[in-house]
Amino acid sequence: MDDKDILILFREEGKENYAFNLIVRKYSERLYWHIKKMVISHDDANDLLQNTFIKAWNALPEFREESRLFTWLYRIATNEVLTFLKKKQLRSFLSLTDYSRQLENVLESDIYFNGDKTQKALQKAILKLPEKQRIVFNMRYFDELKYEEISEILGTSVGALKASYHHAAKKIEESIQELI
Amino acid sequence: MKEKININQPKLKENPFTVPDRYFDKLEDEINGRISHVAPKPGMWSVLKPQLALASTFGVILLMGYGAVTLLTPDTKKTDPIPENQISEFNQAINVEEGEIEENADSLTHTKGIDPDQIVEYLNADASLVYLASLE
Repeated sequence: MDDKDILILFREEGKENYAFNLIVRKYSERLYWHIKKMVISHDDANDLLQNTFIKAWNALPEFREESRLFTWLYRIATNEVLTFLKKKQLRSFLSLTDYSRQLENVLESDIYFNGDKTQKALQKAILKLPEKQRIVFNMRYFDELKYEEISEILGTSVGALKASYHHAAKKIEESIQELI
Repeated sequence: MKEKININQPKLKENPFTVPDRYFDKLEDEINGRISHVAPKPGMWSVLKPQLALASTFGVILLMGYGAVTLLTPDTKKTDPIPENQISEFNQAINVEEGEIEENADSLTHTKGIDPDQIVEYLNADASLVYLASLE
């Protein structure tokens, strides 16, 4: 079902839950992978995904369709991730480098990682990037979102996003060489 | 020297992660379990709407009351201030009139030519008339 139809259904008396389940079914996978690649741990990703949907459920009556439903959901998920990472970093008094190392350790012990050596090196190289650059890279590289869509989600100009992606890709290529 | 890795190769773009069995099927139920305890919060507009309606009703009633009072009360305040020159002209006019009155008063007090005996006689004549009228 089209997003517009789902939203119309959501506004009908007594059909909120049904419509919301359609949204969860449609977007849970995409949002899960978006979150998972940022926090690496499945448990954290699961918590953040559920929080994302609870926040969406609470805010959906106010949703005025100024942006598309999926970019709106991505924005909620991204905010959840960034808040979570900031809190974790502050709580453990870790620098960005130390925190990246901690995430690399989580990746090493992640039982849900199924990739080969190069894929692991790529993930580790991505983890070395600053958070926002990591988000931009993941959204463009894995989710294959358009720059315009990423711009809508992050509220950053397309030009700045292109520059950010270009820098990230360059850094990753250099890091992979060292990691393999 | 190591061979340079091209990050745009399709293999690298594949998702290397998996999820626990039936994770996405269970997720829907888990989220449903959590939202069943949380009704969607009514929007800010739906909370404010009845209160705004009530406030505007009171506002309209107050305006109508004020309008009625203003329309039915004679307007005493709406006079333009009198220019200074008109005030001084008015004062001069009063002074002139007062002067005339004083002059007239003087003319009364200074009336001459009537004999006091004639006045007494006149008054007595009047008194007798009153007396005669009372007898009747």
